[in-house]
This record gives sequence, structure tokens and C-alpha cells, in this order.
Amino acid sequence: MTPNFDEYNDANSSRFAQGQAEDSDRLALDGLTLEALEKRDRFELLSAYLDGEVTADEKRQVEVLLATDPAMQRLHMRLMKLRYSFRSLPVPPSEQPVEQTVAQVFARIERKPRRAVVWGSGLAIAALFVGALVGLVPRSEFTPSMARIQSEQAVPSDGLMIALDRPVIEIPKAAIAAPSSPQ
Amino acid sequence: MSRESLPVSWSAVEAIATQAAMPVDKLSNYDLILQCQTGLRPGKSVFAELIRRYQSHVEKVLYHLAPDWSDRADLSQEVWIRVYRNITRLQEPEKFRGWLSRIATNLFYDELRKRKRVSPPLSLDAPLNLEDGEMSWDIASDDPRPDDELATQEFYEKLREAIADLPEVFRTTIVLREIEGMAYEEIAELTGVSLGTVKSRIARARQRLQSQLQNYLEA
Repeated sequence: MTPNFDEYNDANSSRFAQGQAEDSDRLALDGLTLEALEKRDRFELLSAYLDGEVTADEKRQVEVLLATDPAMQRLHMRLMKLRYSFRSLPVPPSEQPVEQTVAQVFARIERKPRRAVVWGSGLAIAALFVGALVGLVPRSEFTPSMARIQSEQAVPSDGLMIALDRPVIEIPKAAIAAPSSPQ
Repeated sequence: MSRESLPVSWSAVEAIATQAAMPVDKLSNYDLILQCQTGLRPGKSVFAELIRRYQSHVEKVLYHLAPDWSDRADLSQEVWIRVYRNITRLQEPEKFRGWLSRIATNLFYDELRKRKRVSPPLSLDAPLNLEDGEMSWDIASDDPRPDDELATQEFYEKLREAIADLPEVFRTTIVLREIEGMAYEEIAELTGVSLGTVKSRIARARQRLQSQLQNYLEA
């Protein structure tokens, strides 16, 4: 079969123009005819050949096609020109002179360590301050209260339990507002 | 204390004594890189010379990867900061250019990830998800065949537009191949996709470009 990429281009573009483009590689593959698939594979093969990313067998396959197929030859030539143009594409002139870049890079390099020193000193001063505060606080106050709950303090006595059970001061009943109970 | 006066080992001093006497702008690229690797951090004069010689390369890589970013100048500064901190780790100084491209590319991907998190695409007509399948295999150009006198400049302008129009994953993949000369395996590793996907993306990007620019390429 003679691959004709120009025909493939036309057939493919009209298919997509009809709104049959698919959303994923897999679906796109389903939408392609066997012929188009073969052409696509050949294009991929030629592309990989240009990059030297083919096996020895694939290389021979491409070279046979290039020797016998004019359409393949034209495509190969276009791709070579594309590569050359891509690589020689002029980049828009720089927005700033290189000396300015040099100056800015060194300004940043030299600023960073100084900032680190400032931060370091700041942290050291803060640590000293915290240390001093801790030193001023009486040791006993600073001890967490949880640690002070000792088991002997938790041992209840009967007397205490009775005391808790009854109010220490007799609460006069008169102090409670008499509810208006329904008669 | 200036960085140049940082202590270096005596053997290193002897090794570079000959080159040290030479003005930095007369050093070969290789010797310049070796000098930048001397000591804990590169000396100011040699590192400034390194920036002068390779800044255009950094700009080229960043331009192709991020043609529509307005803060590429800031990014190139960040590239040089990374180079400054890591150049002593470069094992093969003759591969500096590729190493530099890789630093710029990694930085680009770091930034891309941040920007994607912060701001989703704003264009209403652009697809939200630029995955592989959303680029059709081919869009034939309706442009008339250019006249012979058409300036090369115009062709470059068309090519630039066509590259910029490629969906991001295709553009970055073809740039890594054509501008940075990376092997498929390196691209796969860097972009976190399979070798087959790299191969397919490169072919599809080429197919679209050659189809859009067919008239110019055959002229």
C-alpha cells in the first residue's frame, strides 16, 4: 500500500470537521479506519526515525519506504525542514540586558545568606527571652498540675463522703419559692 | 567577606593557577565551568561570565516552554540561583548545557504545577483539560501558498504561532526534543508519562505543525 499523507490529512480533517473528534486517544483510535491507523503508525515511525528512536528492524522498514515511496519522501523532507526551522527559530530579543540579570542574580544570592543570619539572630534572641521568662517563673508554679494529683490525696474517707452527701449548712426550706402546685 | 576569599584546598588552587591568571572572558567554556566548580561556591567574576555566556540559552529554553509567560526574566534568575547552588555537583562539566536546560525545564514544571493549582485556565473557548486526546490529529491549513518573495521572517512568525497554539503537553514535549535535544526516555522520566506517550505526542505535534505549515515547508 502506498501511504499518502496528503490524502490522509484531507480525510482526517474532514472527519474532525464533521464533529467526530473523540475525547481520548482510545476513542480516537476507534474512530480511525484501518488505513488511517496504518498511516498514523507510519507517521509515528518516521517521526521516531528522525529522532533515532527506532529499532534496527524499524529503521530498515523506514529506509525501504523512503527509497520507494515519493509521498513518504516528501513528508520526510517537510519534517526535516520543520526540524531545521524549529531549531533555528529566532527567540524574541531579551527584555533586559544580560548585565542586569547578572546584577539581580548576585543581589539575590547575597541577600539570602544575610536574611538567614538576621532570622538566626532573631530566633536566638527570642530563645533567650523565652529562657529568661521561664527562669523567672517559680519552679513549683511551672510544674503541670496533673503531676500533683497524687494517689494518697485521692483516697476518700468515710467522713468526707458523708460530708459531701449532706449539705454543710442547712438550707432553709423557706428560701425555696413554693411552687404553685396544681390543686 | 567576599565569596572569592572563601578558603579552597591547596591542590585545587594549584590546579587552576594557570587559568586563574587568565581573564575570565578568555577562558574556554569548559575551563570556565571548572573554575565555577572550585571551592564551596562559584567566584563572582567567573559565575558572572557563565551567566553572560549561557543566559541566551536559558532564555531560549524558557521562551519555547512558556511563550506566554510575562515573568520569564524572574524565572531565568531563579535558574541561575539553582545553578549557583548546585554547580559543584555537576559530574561532567562538558554536559553543562544539557544540565542547564534540565534545571530550566524542572523550574518550568515546578512553576507550571503551582500556577495550575492557583489559577485554572480562564479562556472560555479553550478546553479545560489539555489531555492528549483533545488535539485532533490534523488540521489542514487554508492559508494560500506563499509567494516566493515571502520573507523568512513571516514563515518564522507562522511557525511561532503554530507552536504556541499547540496544547501545552504537546508543545513542551516537542520542545524538550527539538530545542533541548532530550532522548525519549529522558522526556518520559521528566514528564512522568510512558515512552509510547512521548513518541505519540512528538509525532502528533509534528503532524500538526507540518500540516499547518505545509505550504511554507514545501516552498
